[in-house]
Formats: sequence, C-alpha cells, structure tokens
Amino acid sequence: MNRKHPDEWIVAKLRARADRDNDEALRYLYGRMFEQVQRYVLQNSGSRPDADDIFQEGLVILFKLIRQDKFPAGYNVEAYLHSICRNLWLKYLRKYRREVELPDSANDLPVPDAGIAQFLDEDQRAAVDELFSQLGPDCQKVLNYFYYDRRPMKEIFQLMGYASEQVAKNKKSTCMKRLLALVAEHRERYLHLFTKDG
Amino acid sequence: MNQPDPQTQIDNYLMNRLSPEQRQQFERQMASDSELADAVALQKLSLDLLEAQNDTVLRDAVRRAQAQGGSGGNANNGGPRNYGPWLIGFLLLALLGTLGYYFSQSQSPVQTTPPDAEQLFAEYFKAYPLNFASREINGGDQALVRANQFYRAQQYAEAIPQFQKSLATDDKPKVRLALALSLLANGQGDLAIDQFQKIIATKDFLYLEPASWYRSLAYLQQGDFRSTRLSLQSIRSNSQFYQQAQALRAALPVPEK
Repeated sequence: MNRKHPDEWIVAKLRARADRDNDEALRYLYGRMFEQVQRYVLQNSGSRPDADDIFQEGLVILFKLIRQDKFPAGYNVEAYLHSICRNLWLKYLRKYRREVELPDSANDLPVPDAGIAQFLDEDQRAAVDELFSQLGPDCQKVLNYFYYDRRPMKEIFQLMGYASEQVAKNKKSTCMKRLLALVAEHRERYLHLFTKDG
Repeated sequence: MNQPDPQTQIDNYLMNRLSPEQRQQFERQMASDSELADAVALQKLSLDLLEAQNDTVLRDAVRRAQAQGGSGGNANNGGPRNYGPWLIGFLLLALLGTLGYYFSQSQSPVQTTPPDAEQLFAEYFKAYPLNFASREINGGDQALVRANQFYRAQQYAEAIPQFQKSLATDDKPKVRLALALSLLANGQGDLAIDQFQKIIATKDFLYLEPASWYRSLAYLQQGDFRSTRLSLQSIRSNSQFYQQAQALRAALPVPEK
C-alpha cells in the first residue's frame, strides 16, 4: 500500500479489473470504516442488520463511482464513503421511518448518483453471463472498458495491447454489433429480465 | 463538420455525451424515424444488461469482503500489505488443528446416527439481535417499548403479546420479525412460520435474509426436515446466513427416496 497516498492506492485498486486488487481494497475499507458507519446507524435509530445493509450498499456505490471514474479528485475516500452511507441512511429514514428525527447532515459531502440499476438474481445472472460469454473474452473486455468503465479509446488500446486507437475503435464497433445481434435474437427474453417480479 | 456515424450518435446519446441542443435534435430525429428509435431501444437494452452484469459483479465483490469481515486492513495495521493478521490467523489455525487432532484421538468413536431435530435446533438457533431505538417507536407506543425490553431480556413469552399489540396498530416488518423470532424462541415454531412467510412476501431487503434463515429453523423446530431443506435452499450464496445454512443442510438427515 502507498502509505502516503492511501486514496490513490484505493482508487487504483478499485479501478482495476482484477478480483485480487478489488478484494484487497474492499477488505481494507471494511476494516477501516465498517465500525464507524455501524456506530452512526446504531446511534440514529438503526440496528446491526441495518448497518450491514447500508454499508454494503454504500461500498457498492463508491466502487461503481470509482470504477466509472466519477469519484471526484481531491476527496478523501473514507470520508466520502461515510457520506454515502449517511446519505443512504437518511434516505431510508425519510422513506420508511417518517416518525424518526433525522440526524444532522450539514457536513455531508455531495454525492453523485451512481445509478445502480438492478442486481441480478442467480437465474438472471446465468442468462446474462451466457449472453456475454458468446462474445468471447476480448469483446467483453472492450465493451466493459468502454461502456461501463467509461475509459477513453487511447487507454483501451493500451490495456488491450492493440496496435492503435483505431484498432480499438473498430474492435468495439464489431463487438457492439455482435452484442446487438445476440440481444435482438432473444429481445423479449432479455426485456423480461428487467420486468420480472422478484 | 462530419456527422458521426449512427452507432457513435447512439453511443453519445445513451452515454449522455450530447449537449442539450444536440440531445433535443436527436430526440426529434427519433420521433420521426422509427428505425432509429428501435436501434436506440435495442442498444439501451444491451447496455442495461451489461450494466446490470457489472453492478452484480461489484456487489458480489463487496459481499465477499463483508463475509471476510474486512480482514485485509484496519485502523491499526496500516493497510493490506501488513501480513501480521494473516500470520496470527495462520498460527491460530495451526493451534486449532493441533488441538483438534488431539481431541479427535481421545474422543469416543465418531457419531454415526444423525442428530435429531431438537439437537440441531439447539445447535443452530442463536437469538437475533434486534433493538428498537426510542425514535423508532411511534408516538410513545408503550406496547412496543415493553416488547423491546422483554425481547432484549430474552423474556419471549412476555414479549409476544406486546409485539402483537403493537403490530395491530402499526404493521411494520421489523416488529413482525421481532414477533416471529420471539415465537420461535418460545417454542411456537408453527406460528412463527406464518409470520416469517409474511415478511418474506414483502421482499423487504432489510429483513428478507433473517426471515429466510429463521423460517428454516422454525421448520426444523417442528421436525419437518423436508421443509427445512427447501427453506435453506432459498438462502442465496451472498447471504450472511449462507455458511450456517450450508452447514445445517449437510447435517440434516438424508431424505428418504
């Protein structure tokens, strides 16, 4: 770990598409931050399971913001995670426990919406994994880098070891066409994944 | 200026890379061109699938970290490259292994008959920590105040009528969970099952996992191994109760053919 710049270390580890790096940074954040967040939730009308859920959701949001390069430069990662969790808890209290007096949030950092769309259950996951596996590993990587991680082409061509940015653009375009064809083939089935109850 | 190809235009639209004017213009174009609108809808669906898959991968990574209890770093060890905790863990494991070996050598022969439901229930049931903070209690709901005190003191028989009274005025899933847990702890698994089912039906993410786990234990308390097994199957691999659920499943008697 870069002891002088832990924020840079965390961001680099979470931005990387490598389980080992991600796990290392996530475990680190758990060790550093969970108790603080738990204390906050417990002091503000919550229970231990509430704290577990809020911390988990907060960490996913932070992870996604970092992965998509939306984490604002110059912020302390831990303070930011704490703010995300506080925002989530306030949101929950406002929605489900209107009778509860809301804790002070004046010092909270502004947190952008990470837009967590939907988590897939095991059946949905199997269907989606099957779809993407038909693209092959390189296509999956290129599409994930471009559309999810929002990395620029000049970075993608280097990460993928391609000869030029143009090669990366062509690859992305070909892969997207293949994905569109595959989705079109079973469009109703995939649409149904997002409307399925439960 | 060159007009970008349709694919790039759709990318820019869906990735919010257009100015407000360009966005309006593109939307007008879609309104008059059904083929373009369809292409945008198809690409949006494809990107939604990609996003949902990636979000789920992130969530799984976070749950892995949670399951490991943040063992890679804490406020004192200065970060993940400090191998002190691993070394301590390794030494503890070695010690436990050694002790386990000596115990296994000195104990009576391995039990060959499966344990009964009562034994298993006693082994797996642990009181679930629930507490109602004063601000959670609606307008001085005295029944809930008393129920909370009884529950925390593990006086479940006394807590049950109070939770029932509170639920009659305000149907909150957390109160229902507390009632179900009290019934279970009080040996009334049959009544607890109904309450757990109601909580599970609400799909409230905060209480779904404990309700599923304790419903399994309620079936076990009734001696209904088949329903216990089925209920345990509904506990997902990312649940905090997954490890115990797997262990209990393995300990259940083998179902008859």
